[in-house]
Amino acid sequence: MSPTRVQVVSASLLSTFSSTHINELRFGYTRFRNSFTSADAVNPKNLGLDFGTGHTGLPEIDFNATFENLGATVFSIPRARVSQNYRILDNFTWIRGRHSLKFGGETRRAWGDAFNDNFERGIIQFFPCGCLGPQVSPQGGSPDAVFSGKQRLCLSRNRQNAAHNLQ
Amino acid sequence: MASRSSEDEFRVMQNLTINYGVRWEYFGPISEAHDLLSNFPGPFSPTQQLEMVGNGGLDGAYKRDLNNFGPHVSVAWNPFTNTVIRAGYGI
Repeated sequence: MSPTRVQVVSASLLSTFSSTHINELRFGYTRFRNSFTSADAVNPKNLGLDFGTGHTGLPEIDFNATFENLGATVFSIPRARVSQNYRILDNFTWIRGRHSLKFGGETRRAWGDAFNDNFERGIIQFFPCGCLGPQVSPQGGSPDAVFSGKQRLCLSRNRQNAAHNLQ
Repeated sequence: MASRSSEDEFRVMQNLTINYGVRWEYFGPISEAHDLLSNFPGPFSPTQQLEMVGNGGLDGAYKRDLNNFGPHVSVAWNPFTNTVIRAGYGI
């Protein structure tokens, strides 16, 4: 699901002070909002995996840099962006004899806010050896580490047990 | 981004108009609310490594450029009936 909303506002004020003095003032504002949430409804608890994130969908699962980004891929993590910009423009025209003088100024400003919650569902990593993080239970079964969004914890496990954990 | 401009449309003769002026533009460096930007400090940096913006690092992602002037001039000449010749140049 990727709802998008675009809002645009513009205004113009043309002032004729006299037959030789004219001013034009313009203003514009644009807001663009786009967000993305996955419709992935798989509950990891049903698979024996409780990561404590409170979110449906599998976490990101990496196997020793051989198989990466399984589960929560870059296409299924939540993200959103809000872009805004405004513009103010003013032009003053002065007609004098055979001259038509024009003076103007313009200011634009654009800014954006965005987030990309890469680990909302948590991440689980398996290594064949060389522990970098807490061990999982020697009995196998479900991992004994709790993952929350934006926290990255490494699980150390050999491939055989990793496969066992995912069964 | 900001700009200022001034120009003059000068009707020299009944069949000749000259337009000239100058425009100044400024496009400010991008910034990030938490200074999460980095860049190389310069081509002659002793470290040749990226530096973060802020916290004693770079003042900005790159230097401001306040020297963007764009003059322009154009002419419109009406030598014959139903014929107008226009020419212009600007930077």
